[in-house]
Amino acid sequence: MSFFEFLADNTPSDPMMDHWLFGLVKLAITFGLLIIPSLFFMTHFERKLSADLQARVGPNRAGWAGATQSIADLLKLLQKDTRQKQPRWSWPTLQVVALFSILSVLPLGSSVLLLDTGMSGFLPFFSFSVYVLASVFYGLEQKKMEGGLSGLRVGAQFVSGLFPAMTALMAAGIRAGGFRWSDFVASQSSHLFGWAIFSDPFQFLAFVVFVASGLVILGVPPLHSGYSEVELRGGVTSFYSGSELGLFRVSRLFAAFYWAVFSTTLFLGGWSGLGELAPPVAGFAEVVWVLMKSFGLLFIILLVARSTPRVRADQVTDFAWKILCPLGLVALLGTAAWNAGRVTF
Amino acid sequence: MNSDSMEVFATDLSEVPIGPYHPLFPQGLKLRVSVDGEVISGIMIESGFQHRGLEKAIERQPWHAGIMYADRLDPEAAASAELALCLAVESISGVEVPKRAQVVRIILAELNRISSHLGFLAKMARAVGAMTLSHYVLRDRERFLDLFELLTGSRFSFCFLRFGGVSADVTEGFVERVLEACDLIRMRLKEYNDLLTYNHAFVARTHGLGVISETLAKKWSLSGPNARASGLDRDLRRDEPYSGYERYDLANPLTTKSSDFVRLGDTHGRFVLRLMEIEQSVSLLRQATESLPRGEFRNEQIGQSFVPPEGETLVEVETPRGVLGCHVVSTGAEKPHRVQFQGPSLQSLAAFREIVIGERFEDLSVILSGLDISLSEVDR
Repeated sequence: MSFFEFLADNTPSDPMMDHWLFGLVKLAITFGLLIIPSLFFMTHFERKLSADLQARVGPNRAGWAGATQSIADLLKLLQKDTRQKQPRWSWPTLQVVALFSILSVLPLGSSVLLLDTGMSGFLPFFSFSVYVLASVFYGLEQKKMEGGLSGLRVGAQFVSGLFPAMTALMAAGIRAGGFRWSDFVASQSSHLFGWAIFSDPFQFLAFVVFVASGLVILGVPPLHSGYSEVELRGGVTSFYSGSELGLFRVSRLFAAFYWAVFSTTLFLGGWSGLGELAPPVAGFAEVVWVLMKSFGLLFIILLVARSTPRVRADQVTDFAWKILCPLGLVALLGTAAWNAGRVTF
Repeated sequence: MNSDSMEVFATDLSEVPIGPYHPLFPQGLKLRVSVDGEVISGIMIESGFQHRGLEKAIERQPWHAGIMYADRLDPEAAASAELALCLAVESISGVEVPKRAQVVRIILAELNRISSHLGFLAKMARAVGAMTLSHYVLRDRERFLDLFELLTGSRFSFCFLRFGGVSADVTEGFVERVLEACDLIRMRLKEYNDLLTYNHAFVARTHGLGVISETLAKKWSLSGPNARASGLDRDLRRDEPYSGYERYDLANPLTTKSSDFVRLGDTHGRFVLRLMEIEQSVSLLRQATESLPRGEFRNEQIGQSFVPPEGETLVEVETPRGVLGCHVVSTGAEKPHRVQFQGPSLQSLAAFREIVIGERFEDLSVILSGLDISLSEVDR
């Protein structure tokens, strides 16, 4: 019995409480109580850690030790006027909608998972495509050198990173015997060497390819030449201001976070491995476990980002096409050979 | 999408105006870059946004006030410009400079060279997006600015040199702190190397980028680190010593083991050479502080109302960026008749126009930062 079933059983019984309402409650709880607070925590952690790495102080005014600085920043950006009046339905809005749509398949835990379909593993890719392409078109629409070049770079990186990411996902799917999140998690046992990443060398390769191609697709530093602040003045972002800029920054953070969660579920055991716990505790423990692993992964990415100079756009695409693609194919074929005869779809 | 915005898709040449104020440049500079996709096919440079009429201003002031204006020639390497003007005036008037003053001048100039090179590292790190190194370098440069403050009273624009000496003696504990800073920076050099010099992404970004051949360096009469990285081994401190540089052993970075690496004349070579020059300056500082003689720190015969006799001279000194020439004409009047500077940055900017063709637009900032151009010195 999951936490929500427990919740449903213990609330005054209402026969009208159907799936939709239940889904909405799940969404609200997941988003409001888990994702938003943890992201603010993550932002603060990222800023403080970057500051430590760079011999700076970092935010230290708003709240205890600057803990509420991210909230203060967001509030300030939200009340600023935008540089130019955008139609209500603009590319930045589309980006946010695209990222929100991922929530429905976000595998944070068995109890907060809204959808668990046979192609769950592929669904985020569609949302990420919309997310990145919105950046590309917004850049091209700006009729400025900064936006145009930025849009083209972001687009080129996206195209080059998509194929290796797909091959890595398929390698994970072959091992798990399906593309449901629950399949991925069920195929990985609780102890460390039961995680997909340590189960065979090709899965490890697939993990590396998946994370690296995620950085390429989303333009996470140090592969963020599309958003270069030196020669492009921030590229696409140079046209954002006020609330749009706030939303865009948050969405970039969300995107990286989502990718870390997917990597965790595919290769790092997901929410499995907690043993027998009482239902309400288990529900939260799963989420905390997934978040911890995802943040650990983000932490490693942060270390790399802070110690590496920005890589040139053509070098990024070269890296994706010439190194990640072959490695991804090797991982895919290797996994197929390794698991031959074991998996039946 | 309407037809106006289609030009960003065009594969033929499109022109991109950059500047005059842009995060790419430390000061005002305007570029019109023709790009073919992302590849630069032509560039027009417009400078002069920093023009303050420095040379003319010196002519309108008494002789001593010129030192203060020379500071502003290149704020990051103020000591060298002061030194050039002082040496020129002293050579016209035949004023003796006490030994102690000469050594203090060298200490200041070398400290200034280190701080200017650290500023270069920070600029370079920013250009390639390595903010971590940029922060580290700026933190360490503070130590040197503190030393300037201790010696001269100000962190930039020292106005410390005088005709026939320096304006004040070294303060107590200054020498010890210089040695401390030297030890610190030698330790830090290893850190910088680990973070950037040997960083795979940085090498991929800068190796073979913006190559200046020896012929090109001669053609544009480049000087300083930019020329030395192209194999044009000329250092005025060694070849035509001034202010007592002949007394010191000047280790030549170009004769060390890793010099082949440097001599390629690319952006990476220029970067590494400047790191080596910091080490060279550290060794010079050690020698200078050891041999700091006792005695006067200025020529007592030179007062506020000093006027050099009629004469004309050209003096060249080695600044952190290259050879700075100072041409002074005196008619024996209270004010200078003519003071002209010939700085190294203008030549570098001219060479920049040539080497940037064919490189990618993204590397524009890396090449420009790698040449360490001071725009205030170009515009004067």
